[in-house]
Amino acid sequence: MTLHVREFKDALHQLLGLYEAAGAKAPVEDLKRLLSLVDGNPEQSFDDFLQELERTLERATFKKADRQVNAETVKRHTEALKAAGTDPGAFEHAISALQDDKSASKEDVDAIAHEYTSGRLHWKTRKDGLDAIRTRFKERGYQSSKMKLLEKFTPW
Amino acid sequence: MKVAQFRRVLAQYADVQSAAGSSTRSKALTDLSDALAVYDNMTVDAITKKVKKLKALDASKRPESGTKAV
Repeated sequence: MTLHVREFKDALHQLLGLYEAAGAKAPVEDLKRLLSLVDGNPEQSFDDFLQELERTLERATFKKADRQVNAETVKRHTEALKAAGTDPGAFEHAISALQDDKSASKEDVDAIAHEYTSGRLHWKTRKDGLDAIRTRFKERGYQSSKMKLLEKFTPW
Repeated sequence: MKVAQFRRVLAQYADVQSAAGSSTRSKALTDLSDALAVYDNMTVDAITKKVKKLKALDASKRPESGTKAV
């Protein structure tokens, strides 16, 4: 079923109401900011709206020292790393591709590592970010093998 | 508020919508959250201002309605 912008706005208004009732100022202000972006055709599909938003954001450059990420690069490498799952060969291929990708800046690696590890936002160096991804992969592999072992046990 | 925190707000509400049986709303909130993930350490304010600025720029480049493009 297709969701329209109108219905999405309704959902955001409901959420806004909840936070207003709770007296949480910061989320209220940010939800209002987000709602101000959803100002186009109410009958537009949400997917179209989201694609437009993504295209606009991809064109944006942020001059603040904290970030200048290439959204396309981040998305491509993050997807490759996640798709590798717990397969060491596929992971090595994906991490090597990222390591060797000269177009992937330190900020891009930070964003990828953040997405992959669900952890911190910044690392001191590009290499530290790559190491964090490797560590997380090892943890995932360990967890996965532990679960496989548990599956072999029959419940009493 | 940083985008990372704001995404948690969206994710929590996506869970609520999912539990209430509104899977399309839940998916929309999750999709929006995913789209914003790469901007996690920026503020929602900075993001929205930038989008508005770019949209206004696009609008100013578009020919006015009723005028013919040359």
